[in-house]
Amino acid sequence: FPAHRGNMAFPTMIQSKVRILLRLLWCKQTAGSKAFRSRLVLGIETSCDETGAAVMDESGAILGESLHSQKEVHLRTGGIIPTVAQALHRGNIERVVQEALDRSAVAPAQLAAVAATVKPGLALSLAVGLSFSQRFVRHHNKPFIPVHHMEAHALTVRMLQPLHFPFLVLLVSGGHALLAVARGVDDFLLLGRTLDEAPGDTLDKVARRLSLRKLPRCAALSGGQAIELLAQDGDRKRFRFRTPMGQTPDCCFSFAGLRNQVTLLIQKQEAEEGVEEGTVLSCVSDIAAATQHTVASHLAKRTHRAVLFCRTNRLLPSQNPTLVLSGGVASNQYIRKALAVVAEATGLQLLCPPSRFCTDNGAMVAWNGVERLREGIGILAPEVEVSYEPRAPLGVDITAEVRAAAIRLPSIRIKIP
Amino acid sequence: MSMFSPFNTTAMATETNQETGKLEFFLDVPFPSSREATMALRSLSPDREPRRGGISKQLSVSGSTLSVRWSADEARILRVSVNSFLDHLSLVVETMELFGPPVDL
Repeated sequence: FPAHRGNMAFPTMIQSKVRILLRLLWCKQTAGSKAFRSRLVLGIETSCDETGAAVMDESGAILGESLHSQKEVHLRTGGIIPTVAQALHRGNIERVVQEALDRSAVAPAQLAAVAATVKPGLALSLAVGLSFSQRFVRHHNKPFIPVHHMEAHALTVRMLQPLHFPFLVLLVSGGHALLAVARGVDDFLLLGRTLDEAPGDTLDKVARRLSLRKLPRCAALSGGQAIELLAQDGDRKRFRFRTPMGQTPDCCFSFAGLRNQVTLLIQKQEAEEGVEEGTVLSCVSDIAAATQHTVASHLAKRTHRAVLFCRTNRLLPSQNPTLVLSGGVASNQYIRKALAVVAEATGLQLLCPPSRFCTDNGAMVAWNGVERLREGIGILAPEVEVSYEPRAPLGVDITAEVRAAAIRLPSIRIKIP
Repeated sequence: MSMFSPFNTTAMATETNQETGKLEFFLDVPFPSSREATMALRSLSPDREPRRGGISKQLSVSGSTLSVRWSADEARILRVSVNSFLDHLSLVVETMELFGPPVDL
């Protein structure tokens, strides 16, 4: 019997077999040791002193990553020298990116986009990451997503667990301190920022002035880590420092005055003990403990005020409002505990990414790329020219409104066991 | 007439070849790599049609897609052949799945 074009109905048996086959074949393409969901993003980070790269899928799973830290070099020189940092970035970026790709078994052609930090940070460091990324995307013809370093830190938690907007975020690192409400992937309200130094920088400089590097157990640690270690054995009440900005009821921070207090105390102790600068004092653990406590206390009080401001102005959800703590200084467990006390007292959930995602890394940049890719915002064609910006404020600045609110804090006992 | 899969990957089509009057059926099967498509090709090629007359098929690989073309006199014979081919193909795919991706020895 002849069958005419269009008259042949596909028997259900064949249809169902095809469906089963399709499911098998499609699963084959997506399963394997690393199950990945649709699009892949390569994230590149070079804003300061760490060269990081990571390949990530849309679910936030890291397929492969690599990091080169310049910490050791800068510790030896006693601080970050921008030209040194730049040279180190230049010397490592290609290798770091290639390692991330190799470890994820992903070829550049398979990427959906490349995301890279373009602001804020050290100009010379940013330049390396940006020029590498632009060459990369032009060579492989991939979309480019410029990323704001602080936004990336703020959204890191969303890579690890479900967290809805809006939430309050305290970002504290070697270069930044800020309090903001994250309302969307590129929508932030800035409640407060540091007026002089960043707390990480303060801790590092105090550690340097105390010559903590000379202690064997602190030799491989950054300044902040050394302070935290010594503080464990120190008596924080032996020396008292004034918590900064007690007269200013807003959410901004200041650490330079505190560092000055610490420096004066160190000089006084050196005179009393009859030692030269460069010798480790006997009371070093107590000084470390007091410094750390004052930093933690200052951060906690500002955050407390921020929560009250948010509640008054309905900036946070009534259901399960969240405080996110991120940035390099967030790795400090004492500071985390201080913020936990505030969170508990104000009925907020405290979330903190694991230490390795609090410090600079490629994964958080890749994640920011994923978030932007999902929303379809800030995605550029490879040929578009992009410049880096060493200074870049976060979001919309409402620090003036916060200051005008002049919120007085009820006292909370920051008692950390 | 052609039917496309929900994932837009496999294409099937039936036509009547105007010159020969025979029914033709095309099936394109996507594999994750050309190696796997070729492995499937080699596993399925030796199967001859039980009924020599009235039906013939051709298998080929292009990129990572296995393509099969049937040419038949009657719809019934075509249907039987396609059905049994799909059974064999399922067996091949499931076996490949069980053994994992190809390794270089």
